[in-house]
Amino acid sequence: MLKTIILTDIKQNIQSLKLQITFVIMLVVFTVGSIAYVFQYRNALEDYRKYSSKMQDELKMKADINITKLAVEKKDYLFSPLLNGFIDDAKSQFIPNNIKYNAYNVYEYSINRKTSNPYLFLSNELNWGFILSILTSFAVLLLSYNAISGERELQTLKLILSNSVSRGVFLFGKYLSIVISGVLMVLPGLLVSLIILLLSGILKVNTLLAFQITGFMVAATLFISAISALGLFCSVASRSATVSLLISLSLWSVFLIFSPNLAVFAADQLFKIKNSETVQSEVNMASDAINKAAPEGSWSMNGNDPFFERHELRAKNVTDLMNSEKQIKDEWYNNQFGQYEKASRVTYISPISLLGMVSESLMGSGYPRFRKNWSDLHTFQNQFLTWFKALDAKDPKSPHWYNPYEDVSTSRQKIKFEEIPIYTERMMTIPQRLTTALPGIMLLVVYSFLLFGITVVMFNRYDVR
Amino acid sequence: MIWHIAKKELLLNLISARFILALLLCLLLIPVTMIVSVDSFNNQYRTYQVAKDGAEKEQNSWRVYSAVRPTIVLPPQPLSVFCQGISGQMGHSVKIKLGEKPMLGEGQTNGRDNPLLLSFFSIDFVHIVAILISLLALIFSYDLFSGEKENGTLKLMLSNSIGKSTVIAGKITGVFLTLIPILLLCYLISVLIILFTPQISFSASEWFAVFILFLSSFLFMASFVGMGILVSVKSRSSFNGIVISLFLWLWFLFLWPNIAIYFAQSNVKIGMLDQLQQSMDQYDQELYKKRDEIAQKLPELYQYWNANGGDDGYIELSGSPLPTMDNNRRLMELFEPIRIEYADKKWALQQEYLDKLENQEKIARYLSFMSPSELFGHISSMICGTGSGSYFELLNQTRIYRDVLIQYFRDNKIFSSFIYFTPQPERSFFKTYDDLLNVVTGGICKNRQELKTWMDAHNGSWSVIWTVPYPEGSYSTYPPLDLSALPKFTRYKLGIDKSLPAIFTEAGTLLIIFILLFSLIYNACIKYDVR
Repeated sequence: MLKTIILTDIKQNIQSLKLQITFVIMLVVFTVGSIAYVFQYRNALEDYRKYSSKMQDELKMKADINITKLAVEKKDYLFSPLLNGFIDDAKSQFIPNNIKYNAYNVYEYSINRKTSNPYLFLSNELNWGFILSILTSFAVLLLSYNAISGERELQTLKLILSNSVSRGVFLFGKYLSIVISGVLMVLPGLLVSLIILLLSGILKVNTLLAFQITGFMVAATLFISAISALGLFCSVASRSATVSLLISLSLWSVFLIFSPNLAVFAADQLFKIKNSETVQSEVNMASDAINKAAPEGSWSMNGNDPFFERHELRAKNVTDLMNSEKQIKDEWYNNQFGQYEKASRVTYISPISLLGMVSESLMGSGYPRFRKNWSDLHTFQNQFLTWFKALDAKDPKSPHWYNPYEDVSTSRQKIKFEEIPIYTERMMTIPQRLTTALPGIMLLVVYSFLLFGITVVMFNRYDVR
Repeated sequence: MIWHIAKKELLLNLISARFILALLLCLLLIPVTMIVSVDSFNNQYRTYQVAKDGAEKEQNSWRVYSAVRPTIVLPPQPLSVFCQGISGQMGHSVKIKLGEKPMLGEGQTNGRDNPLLLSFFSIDFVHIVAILISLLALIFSYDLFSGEKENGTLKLMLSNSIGKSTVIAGKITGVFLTLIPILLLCYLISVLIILFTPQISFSASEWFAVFILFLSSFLFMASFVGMGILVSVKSRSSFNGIVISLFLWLWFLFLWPNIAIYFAQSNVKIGMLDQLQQSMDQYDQELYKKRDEIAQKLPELYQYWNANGGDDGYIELSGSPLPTMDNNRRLMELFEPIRIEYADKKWALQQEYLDKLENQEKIARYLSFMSPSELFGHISSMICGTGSGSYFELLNQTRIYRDVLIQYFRDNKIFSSFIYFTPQPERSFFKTYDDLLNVVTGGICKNRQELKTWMDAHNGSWSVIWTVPYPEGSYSTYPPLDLSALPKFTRYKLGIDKSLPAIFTEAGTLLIIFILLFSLIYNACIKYDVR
């Protein structure tokens, strides 16, 4: 009985106008998106290569001058463009992708906008995640809003239920048919997109890519089932199909448009943190206090003589300044991370945001990537400092008074470029990605179960006449 | 008769679930959006105040003209709470340099202290209104004719002695009468929130702009009503009608804008700003070679007493003897005009980059003519002064100001004056460095040779023999410059009057769409099968 319900419904859905229109639009958007992505990715990769080679040249130049200059000069690490952007770019245009550091400290993060056009309005990229969150969710809601109330209006609901099929089984059959129709709607588009990308030659077929694509498809299915449960819930919430439609459209609009605004609202009003002027004035006050307490001669400098005694005082003063600023700023950064994470959690009432979170984790991009790089760079910075100090210790011409900003009292020997430790980003491993994605996946499953459960309860009291 | 039909439509709609849901959505979404926008504006304003105070303080500290490089700080647009446009992406300060023309502004204006929060696409008032009003327009008009036909009441209505045109006009008026209160409510809520925010005060021209914004929202709404009615008339059932209308809504509001911009971005390759910077740096290297060529011919250029230097030719000397001072003066006289010349060379590269940015933006804008919601978005950004046109013009004005400033420097022969690089009056210059040492050490060291001998013997600084104070040698003796005659940047008001022609083009297109739709509707209605 269940199989019959499911099969009839799927056949009906496939022949319906809604599915056909969605199918066509989806194919168009997937094709346009994939073709445009190929060009964009090639451009982005070329730009990044030029930028990296320029950074390499600068490092070589500094290595040729002396090793201290290499250590104290603030370097920028810019994240590379990721190949999996065609699946989901996790809003990487808006997540920080540039971290400033030197051997002594990791200073700040920022968004390097040097490839974007500030004159264009902000927009989304046409990747799989975007198509799913907007188009597929809309189409699935349209498919499911009249599953129950529409049948009731057509008077066919009472006919079905007058058979020996229980309400629960019937509802479950409807649910499965919607999920399967939804998945069937998306699959061809995904395949077309994959084919275009494979033909273009930019994809490297390996385990990681297979994992990402499979993972995304699993997440997409879970997402479709959550939206189907939502649509079914709207359908059961009212006796008229039009009202069901209105409720589902409103919920969709709220989830899509409202939840980002709600997150910002929550961040500004509920999870307040200090603003940048307050932090800067705290840093300035602490610096002034340190400078006042600094012993006489802490500011003398003799560029030619590293062993000038005052350089020891200077090094200590500069180090104290750096540490006090570091302490205040690190605390502020952690507050920023906390504020962002709490605000994100507010958006998890929307399955669209949940899909975004899961794909972000599976792709290893977006916010998880930024946090990983932030902490990995801290580790690298410590290793770099240790390496530098070891080299400096071997130099008899250095007084070993470590100064984080200036080349006055540490080793001035040159170093071969090949011997310098360079930071290379380690992408999140598959187990790490799964662990990060797990909460989102569980929430999606809970979402579907909960909504379906409520729908069953409501349907059991539904007046089918 | 038209009024009767319209009134009937209105009253039926007012008690329907659609209307109540519409009101609820408005009451929920608009206040939150406005509060977020107002908060963001307050943050921007605070940042602006800090930057402006900083720029003023800096201006009051300049002692020499080589430091005079004014920073123009742009205030945030009050109307950006309605339509953010690109105001969150443009920098808010522009530094006027001699060696480089300003291309894009610097600094953050996104009004968020936590850069991570930028990844939440917060939507501004204009976009929420566009989404809501278009959705509601479609929802109220999709079953205008097909619904009545299915109910069987259409043929009853037309069997009376009223013409088809009256019915059509009446029904359409009814839909408008239902939607206008909702639109008014949205604007009313936002206006109330603005009035109750003390930090934002609109001038008369800004309230006028809000009114024009309301009118364009009405035009936008009308185009979607037209679309909904057309679909209603052409489709076989109201169910099909709503499906097609909703997909049209999805396409025009969510899919087409992203496709258009994505298309524009992939078509015009821009390259990284870093590469432009690299090419400009090469020009700078050439420039400094030229400086060295001139400097080589001038003796005793670097016999500084006290020297300070910095960006864009900032150099401040004090206490140095006459040969040094005079040769530096001659260097500045010859070199600064060359620096300005090189700025023009660099500008050629910058212009190329800007042209690419503009081309991308143009493609995106022309593509947007195909979607009423994009047209509305562009019109709103032009009305609120946050569109690309306003910012292009603004940066142009900063370049014109730079030319005015350079002309002022030239007219007053500032490059050839001592005040360009030293606040010390000419009469207090020492004749030679040796004279200076002689006086300052009280005769202990009569020249540079003796000083070197002394330092080698005493292995350290010679502050012990500096017995005679030399206040003219330190910067703090001198007051900051009196810059009251310096040309000031006249505040460029990003206003509606500057972009009226462009607004008319885009609004005209909306109007044409509207007229087209309604003539199609009229034709289709006349041929409509009412059975």
